[in-house]
Amino acid sequence: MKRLASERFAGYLFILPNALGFAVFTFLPVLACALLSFAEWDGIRPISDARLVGLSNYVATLGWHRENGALVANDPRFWQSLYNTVYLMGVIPVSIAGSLLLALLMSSALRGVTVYRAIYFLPVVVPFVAVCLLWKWILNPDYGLINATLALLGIRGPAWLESVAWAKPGLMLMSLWIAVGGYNCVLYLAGLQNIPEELYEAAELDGANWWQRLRHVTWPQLAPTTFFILTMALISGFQGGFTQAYLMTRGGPVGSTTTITYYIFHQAFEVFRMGRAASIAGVLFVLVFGATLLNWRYWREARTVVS
Amino acid sequence: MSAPRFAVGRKRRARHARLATHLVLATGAVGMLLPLLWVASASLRKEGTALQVTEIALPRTQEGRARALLGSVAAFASSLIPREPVRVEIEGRARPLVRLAGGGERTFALLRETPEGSVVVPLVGKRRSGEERTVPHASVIPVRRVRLHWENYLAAWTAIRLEDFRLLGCIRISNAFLMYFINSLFVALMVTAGQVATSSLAGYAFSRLRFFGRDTLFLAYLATMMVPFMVMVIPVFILFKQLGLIDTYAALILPGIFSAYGTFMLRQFFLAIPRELEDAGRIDGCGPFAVYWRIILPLSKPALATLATFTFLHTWNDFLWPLLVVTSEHLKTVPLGLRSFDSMYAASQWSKLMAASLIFTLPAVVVFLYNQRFFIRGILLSGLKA
Repeated sequence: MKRLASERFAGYLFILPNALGFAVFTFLPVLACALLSFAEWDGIRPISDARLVGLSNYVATLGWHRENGALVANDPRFWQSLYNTVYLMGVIPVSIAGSLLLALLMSSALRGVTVYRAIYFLPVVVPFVAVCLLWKWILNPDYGLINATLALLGIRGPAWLESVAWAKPGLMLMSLWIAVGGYNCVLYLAGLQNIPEELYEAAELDGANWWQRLRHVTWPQLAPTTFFILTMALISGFQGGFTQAYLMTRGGPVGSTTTITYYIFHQAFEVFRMGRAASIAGVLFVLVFGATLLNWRYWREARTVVS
Repeated sequence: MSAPRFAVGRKRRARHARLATHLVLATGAVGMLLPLLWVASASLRKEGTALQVTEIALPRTQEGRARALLGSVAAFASSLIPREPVRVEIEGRARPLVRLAGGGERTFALLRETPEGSVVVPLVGKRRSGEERTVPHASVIPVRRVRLHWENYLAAWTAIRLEDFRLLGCIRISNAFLMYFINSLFVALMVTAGQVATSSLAGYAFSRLRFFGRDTLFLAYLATMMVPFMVMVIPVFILFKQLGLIDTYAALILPGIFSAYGTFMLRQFFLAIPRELEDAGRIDGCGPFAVYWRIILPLSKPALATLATFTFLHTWNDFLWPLLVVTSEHLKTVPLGLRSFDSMYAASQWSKLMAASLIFTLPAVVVFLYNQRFFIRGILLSGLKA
């Protein structure tokens, strides 16, 4: 009995530093952000000047109004940033497929896997700010590597970051370069190693060819890995794009690379509308939460299918 | 009779497949490395002599096309090595060193251009040996030699100066990049040490000690793990502003020390440690802290090292938070310093920008190559994403 009491006391003591920091820097800020999203404040005047405005921040962000008989969004820039964010997430399936292909190739190459893995993983290690600054020049229309490479094939490359149509594909190309051999590829490599050899032997006895083995053994066995990767990619995808936009394009041209996070930053720290920024952060939270739930459900189903 | 032949065919097919795999992987690897090689090449060029994109008109026939493609790829690859025209001193003036088309290895000095053609004089070594002659402009080929401008790196490193700054009030530091480096190292080390300490303490409590409210609290930790960082950034920024802590080391370090993810990860790892080891310690009279310090921590070195590596790299690379809370030049971390450099010099001096970026890439790459195996194991251990 006495030991239990002392253990309880010790438990609180052990948890105290972390819980204190957790409360101050994570838990209370989440509540504060929720509260702030119902308020109007510029972040400069004393906080006592902030006043509650009900749902008007959310209406300003998400709402629509009638203008000359047509429905118009209250904040077209928010919807544009949401569109841009989702557009940029279009690279996710390509990058996951690339990681899987790389992992399959590497696991069958036998020799030199460590060398390949190191080379393909390298872009993850380069500090992200450096990646952005370097790629700004790699995507330069007149001097950049990409257009120089395209010129070898007789193709005149686009203006990339300077053009509304090509700025997002340019950024996606950069994301692909970073992600394809990175964490996801390593996770797939490990997943491949965990597939029991007997399954392939059985498939071979049944006369399965290369594609059938991939389709009916490898792919279902890797399903949990794929869903984990997809969940993480969606969560970080919704929150992505800030550093690229800030360093490479300033969100432009004409807002074509402004993602949700960059738009929140713009509202909070460039035009000082803290309440509006908090409301957009709230919307982002719902999106991320939704992505997590969706994936979690699929993940559970996938697991029951496999086992 | 047919069985061995079949086996031989299969073996050969397997070898071909393996060769094809290596070919694909190697081509891809070149593609992955190309941006970095190109950047390294740009960083070693004389400022203002960047490679320009030159379009090539490919011939129409299939064979001519393939040959032209190979030729231009080779030319492109060789153009990655920075070369510069060579000059020689003739009669007190520097003249371009040239060769003549069809003239073999003989070198000439180009004296002047006239409407009739280029006036050249043959050279032996660096001296003229023979009469001037006029040749068609088109036959003159400038001689270019490899020249690497390593001084770009030095220029980049010393580009930004700190005015009148003394570290700890006494050590004068005028090189801003040195200071960025010190700041990044200091902040990343403090955050890493703090996070490993608080996360392991809390992780131990969550995994082994029983107390009221433990599971509710843990649930709260888990629930906040999927909250976007942007949600937290605004209130925490306001908090630091209200406390007057903007533009201090405290603002850079404090928020990073407490991590729900680190706690979660270590808890999972501690749960996998056999309870018998702990019970043995208890029987020997160890209290909870002694068990944590003498038994749990030494057994968890791989997990602690993983958390430390990821925390360090994450803090080292972090951009948004330092951008918000730091304005003084002498408090900036490396990512912010690179950004300052970019906004000051990028338009005109991008050889130096490339050099600066590579200077700060190199340590990370070396650490990675050195720790590669451990790094990879770390990803698998935790499924952790930076």
